[in-house]
Amino acid sequence: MYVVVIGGGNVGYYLTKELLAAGHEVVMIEKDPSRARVIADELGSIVVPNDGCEGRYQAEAGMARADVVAAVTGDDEDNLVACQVAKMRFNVPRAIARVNNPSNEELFRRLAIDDTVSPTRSILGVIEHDIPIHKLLHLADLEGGEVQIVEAQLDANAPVIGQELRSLALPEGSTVVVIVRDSRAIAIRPDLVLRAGDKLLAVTSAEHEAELRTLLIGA
Amino acid sequence: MRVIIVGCGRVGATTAAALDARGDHVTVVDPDQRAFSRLPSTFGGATVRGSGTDADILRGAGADLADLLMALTQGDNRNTMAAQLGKHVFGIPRVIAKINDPVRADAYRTLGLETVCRTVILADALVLAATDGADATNGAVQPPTAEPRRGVPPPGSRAAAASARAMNEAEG
Amino acid sequence: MIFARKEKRPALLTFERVLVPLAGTEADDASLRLTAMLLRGTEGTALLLHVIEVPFERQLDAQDPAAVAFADEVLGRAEAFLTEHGVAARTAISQARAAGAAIVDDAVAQRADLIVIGLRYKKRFGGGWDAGRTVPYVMRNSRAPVWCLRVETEELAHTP
Repeated sequence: MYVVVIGGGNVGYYLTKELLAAGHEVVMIEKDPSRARVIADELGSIVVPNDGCEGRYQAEAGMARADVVAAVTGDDEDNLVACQVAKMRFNVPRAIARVNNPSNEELFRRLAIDDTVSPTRSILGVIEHDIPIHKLLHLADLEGGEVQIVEAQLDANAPVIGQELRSLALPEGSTVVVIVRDSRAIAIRPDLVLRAGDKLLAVTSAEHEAELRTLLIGA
Repeated sequence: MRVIIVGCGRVGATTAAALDARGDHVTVVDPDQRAFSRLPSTFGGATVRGSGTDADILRGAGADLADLLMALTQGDNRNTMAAQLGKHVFGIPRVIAKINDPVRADAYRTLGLETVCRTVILADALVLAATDGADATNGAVQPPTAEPRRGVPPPGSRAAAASARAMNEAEG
Repeated sequence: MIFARKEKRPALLTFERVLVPLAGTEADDASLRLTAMLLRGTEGTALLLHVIEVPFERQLDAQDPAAVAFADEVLGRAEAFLTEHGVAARTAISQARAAGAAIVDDAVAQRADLIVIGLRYKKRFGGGWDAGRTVPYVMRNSRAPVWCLRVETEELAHTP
């Protein structure tokens, strides 16, 4: 694969190294000239020392034949513009943007950026998994966020306690996939009665997540 | 007109003051509190401290009811992002981004953003100044002649539509 | 008459493998002459190298017949010149993203003990002298010594 990485900070640097080690062809665009030189000295002549948001430097980096562009600078607006230019001008098949502010992910998705990665959200997920503050946990996003995998922890107040699984009025596009009880995954049976302490792993769509949350844990 | 102005630099502050003087309802957003001191003491609009590329901040500045958003910071990318946030997440009918790079301004115009290219405007004005004298470039904005009306949403604006809806719901 | 045989004084500098990168410009002329002077009458060899720089828009191993033809011509002329002066020469063509890195790598691979490279006189807009990308890179990164020959120019370097 030919990957153009925009941004030579820590994320861009390590990403480039990993991609190279995996055998891909990589070019990095980094606008700070001394940073660009340091990276080029180590990784070879694969750095374009200019502004990766500009069409002409993207052209110089061979964006026309890129399979993927990954914009991973520390600024959401730069990542947005870089991806938009890459898609508008060069029709890059896949544009991936790092989104630092999780509340911006929606905008990126609406502007047809193929994939977003929010380090904030990832770390939040890790923290929350160890310290269950929220009762509905976001585990993973698929299809650019359209499909979500969530974990609901049922405490004694959960509205669905005592109900059978088959009687749950699940919103459209939602399924309960796994139930963890007493630290063990148990088989999904339609007549299974939900108990306090159960953890439900469910698949749902972004649109119906709030509805599912209200149904399962009442919040 | 309800206007949100992102960026209270010299351009943002001057524009905000001019629109406020014409009777528009203006909210200015800037992460630096000190930037607001550029607004005149007669400024009757609102200020919100924060980044115009943050959806929560824009919401707090009234983006849901705004008729126009103008992104006037010094960063082209920031302006582009704020304008697109306004348009695609908050449905603001008109968004204008100040973009300094003429090439990029063109590209974003094709995406449905109104762009104001500082470089082009300045170059045009300078050519005019060279041929007709610098005075020919001043006074493009007319001072207001009518008394500004505050508090009443102008007809056709989103605020008027929203209050009409609210009144219908109250009566219905 | 007895002619005293003049003792051959040992050379002040000896090199066995001199790498001569050739760009195909007038800057090559001086490097070839200097190399001929250094190696004439010795066992040393000149390693002539032309690097084809491939922009990112193309794959690194993309074939460019025009560039290869140019390289052949440049190297051919250089080899002929050196042979005329009794200097052994070998030629090579390399394709790389950046000539500097390719030159440094080649010097290591061929165990060159000297690099002789020419530099055209260029100025940037605004008057600053421009050494380009390749020569500074080679100067900074080569293990072997690097002799750079800047060509003569009509322009004045300084006003007195």
